[in-house]
Amino acid sequence: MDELTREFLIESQEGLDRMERCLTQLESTPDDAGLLAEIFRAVHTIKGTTGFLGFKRLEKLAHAGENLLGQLRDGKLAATPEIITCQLQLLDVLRSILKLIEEQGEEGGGDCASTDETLITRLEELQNPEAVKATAHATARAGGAAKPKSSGSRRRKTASAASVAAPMDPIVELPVAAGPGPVAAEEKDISGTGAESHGTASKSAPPPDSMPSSSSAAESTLRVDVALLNRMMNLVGELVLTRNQVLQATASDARMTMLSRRLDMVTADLRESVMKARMQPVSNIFSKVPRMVRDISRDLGKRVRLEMEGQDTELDKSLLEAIKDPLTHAVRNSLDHGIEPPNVREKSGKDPEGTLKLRAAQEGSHVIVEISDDGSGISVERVRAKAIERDLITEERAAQMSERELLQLIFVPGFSTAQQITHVSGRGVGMDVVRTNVEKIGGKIEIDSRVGKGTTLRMRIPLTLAIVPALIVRSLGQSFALPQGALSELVHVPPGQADSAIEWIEDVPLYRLRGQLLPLVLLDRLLMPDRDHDAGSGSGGFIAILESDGRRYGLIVDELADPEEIVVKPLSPVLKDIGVFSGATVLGNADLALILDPGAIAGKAGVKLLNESDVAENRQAVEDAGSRREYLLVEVGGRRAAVPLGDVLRIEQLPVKRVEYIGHQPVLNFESQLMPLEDAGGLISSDVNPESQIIVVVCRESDRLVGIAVSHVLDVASGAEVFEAGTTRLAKGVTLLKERMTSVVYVAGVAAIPADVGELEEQQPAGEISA
Amino acid sequence: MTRAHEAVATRTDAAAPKADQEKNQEQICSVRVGDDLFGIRITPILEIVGGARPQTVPLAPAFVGGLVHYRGDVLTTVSLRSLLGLPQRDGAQDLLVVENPSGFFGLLVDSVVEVLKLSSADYEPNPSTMRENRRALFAGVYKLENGLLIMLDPACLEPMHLARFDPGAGGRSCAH
Repeated sequence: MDELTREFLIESQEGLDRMERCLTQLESTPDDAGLLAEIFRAVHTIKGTTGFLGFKRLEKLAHAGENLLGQLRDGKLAATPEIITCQLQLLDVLRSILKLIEEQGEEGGGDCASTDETLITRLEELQNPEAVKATAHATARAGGAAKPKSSGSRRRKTASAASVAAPMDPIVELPVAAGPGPVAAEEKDISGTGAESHGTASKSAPPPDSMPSSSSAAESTLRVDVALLNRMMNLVGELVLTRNQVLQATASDARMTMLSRRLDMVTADLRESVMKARMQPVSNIFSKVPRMVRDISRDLGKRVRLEMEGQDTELDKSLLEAIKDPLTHAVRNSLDHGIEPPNVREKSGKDPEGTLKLRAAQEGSHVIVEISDDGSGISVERVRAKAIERDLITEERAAQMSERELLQLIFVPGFSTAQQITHVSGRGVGMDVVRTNVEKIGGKIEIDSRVGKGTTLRMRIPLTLAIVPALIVRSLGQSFALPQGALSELVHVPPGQADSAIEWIEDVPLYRLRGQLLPLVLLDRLLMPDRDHDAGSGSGGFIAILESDGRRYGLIVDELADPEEIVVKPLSPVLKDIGVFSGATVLGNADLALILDPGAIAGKAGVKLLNESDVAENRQAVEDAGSRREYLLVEVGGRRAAVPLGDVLRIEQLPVKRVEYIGHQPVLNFESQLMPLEDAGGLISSDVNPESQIIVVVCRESDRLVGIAVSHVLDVASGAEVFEAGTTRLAKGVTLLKERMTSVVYVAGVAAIPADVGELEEQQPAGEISA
Repeated sequence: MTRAHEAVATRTDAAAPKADQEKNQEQICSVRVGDDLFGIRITPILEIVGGARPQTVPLAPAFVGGLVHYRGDVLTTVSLRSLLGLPQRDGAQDLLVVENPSGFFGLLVDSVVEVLKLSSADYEPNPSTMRENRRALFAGVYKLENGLLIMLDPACLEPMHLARFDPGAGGRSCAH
């Protein structure tokens, strides 16, 4: 393909993207002359260039479209939904032709002549309002002939095949239904078009010929190949490593230290700039949504208003590509199951027009993408019932879970693929796939829903894929990187205690984590299955507790090194095929480390899905629970006390100065939530040095968090209930721990934050409240 | 790294018109593995790196010599020693960075000897008595004054290719 054609393709695809955006906008503001002019310009440019390059089919189609648009621009016609639909159809055909040109170097044509003809005739008819009226029936039939075969289930199915950004165009689809010959190829072309044109378009800087007023922007930007950016990123990574070595080597020489500091700064700046060059505004994928919303809502007979916010939020290009599918899926779900038909909405007293809201915003090193609707929402009760029915959780467990936790169950594979939930709650088709996609790029996904009010799907995406926070672990005398995203906690097994800490069922190692059995994977055995490992010889090590793809297990490694921000390098196919490593990285000390893939390791070791194994664990836990409970043994101001372990969320060590007061109530800003603090031992009285550390046991009590200030955390022990002498009455508030009577902290008794202050907290950052 | 510079220098020589004068001559980089001398045409060789210490990759196929950090990329290497069934050697090895259509890979050898100009008159195909699994690796032989130089075809040493036709496991003749 020559340079001229390639340039033409990129420019045309940009033009078409712009045209699509404008057309969907035009529907709500049909008289906007600026929009019309822009659409006209896009088609006109294509027509002009195609004539020059000799693409006759494109020229003919663009010409017909341009004529109609000319009439609109001159005010001779009003932009009716009919005209817009037809222009959108034209757009799809033009895209598919561009795709053909890109792949085969020619525009095709022979097979599609009749469909082209139909479209051109239709465009011509629409130019003549009277004729439109007269032939209204005829066209309805012509359009109808194309539609019935293709619409309905097939149409929907195609569109939901997540990668399709724009649903299929009925007219292009006609040959699909008509003849078997060119069908497959044609179909493939179209379905690929959305993604492809986006890919090409987003590669480039803002279009050079968009608006006369934006010419200055056009002059200050240029197109850069993504491959070149990747190469630059690589080289910067290399420079960072060299810098590290220089810093180490010159540490002793004062003059060199100055120079290497400077090198250090310049390198950091350079790295940031190159990363910035890879960033693209979210609008690149958001811009596909209006068309999708328009087509789907029409299809389903719903009225939907689309609101978008934060479109200029920037994200790494590769990540943008990766969330395109989940976004499409979520939008479809909202339209399909979330937002009710107008009559249903009216009955329940809502605006017949539903609202779908897309929001993107940067929060620290993450970008939040939210898709919310004001539709029917998901019933937590039904989710709970379904999850219990499907054996995903036990009733006891379900009773302990908060509504929010229960809702997240719809991402569990066993839950959603069953599809029975679909007609009940509305969601569930392939939500696990959405989650997997988001997790693959180190993101997190959450759902929030209220019956009758709507549903919000929230994705948390890291700013860039190129640099990942990881924990460096060592095993077999080699370093490995473990992505922080999958790591939930670390357990140290001291040398000599490995035998008692790790339990075995024949050759299956298990660890008792807060009373629940956790399957273990020994990294050295996994990586060296042939070598003779001395089983649990008491050498000690660390258990990294990992959660990935809904699986939870412990990975035993020999040593922990530092956490590090690693630059991910791809592996060659031969090594990727091993299926344990997701990449490699160069560490600060210039060592190479393989990046472990927690999901793949779970799969290889045969770790089952979290919830299946949980069922077994729970059963066992329930059997035990009758007589004994686990307690966290703490010391508060010289006295021993017990906190029910089931209530303990985590143990935090923090400086006293972080404690703030509302009235006399000490509170703590814990992960941006306000948490009341119980200080029975007077550990945080005013005369304590504000820099000194206190230990806070964070507990969950019904739907709130409370903190308990303690002097020391002593142990975890199971306590027996004690009876009052001579009676069968249980003694309240005490338990027998390690042969000693210990009082149990009454977590529910911790004073609540005054209600009005709680409201205040929602309006301003918690950190600002202090007395 | 000095050896690397030499290699770059010889590559520039190859491009010089001098090489064109004798068309039936080829430039071949000779390497030593065990007791044998092997040769690879220098055209696909990007760089020669001395003193490479590859990082082993657990669970990788036997022929993979490990990973090497090469100019910002992580390079998969093929160990010629393990390919030939020789015992692994500790310590630094020499690394040839070889370009192929799908990217590049590293070839670990005991040591790089020199770049030779050899006449095609001295070339002969593999002897018919050669074992099948060797045929998959070797691409003929040059007769030198003081011994034989066994030719290797980089396309047959590419890791993905080796993974498909593991020559150690019986093997097929190299298709290239």
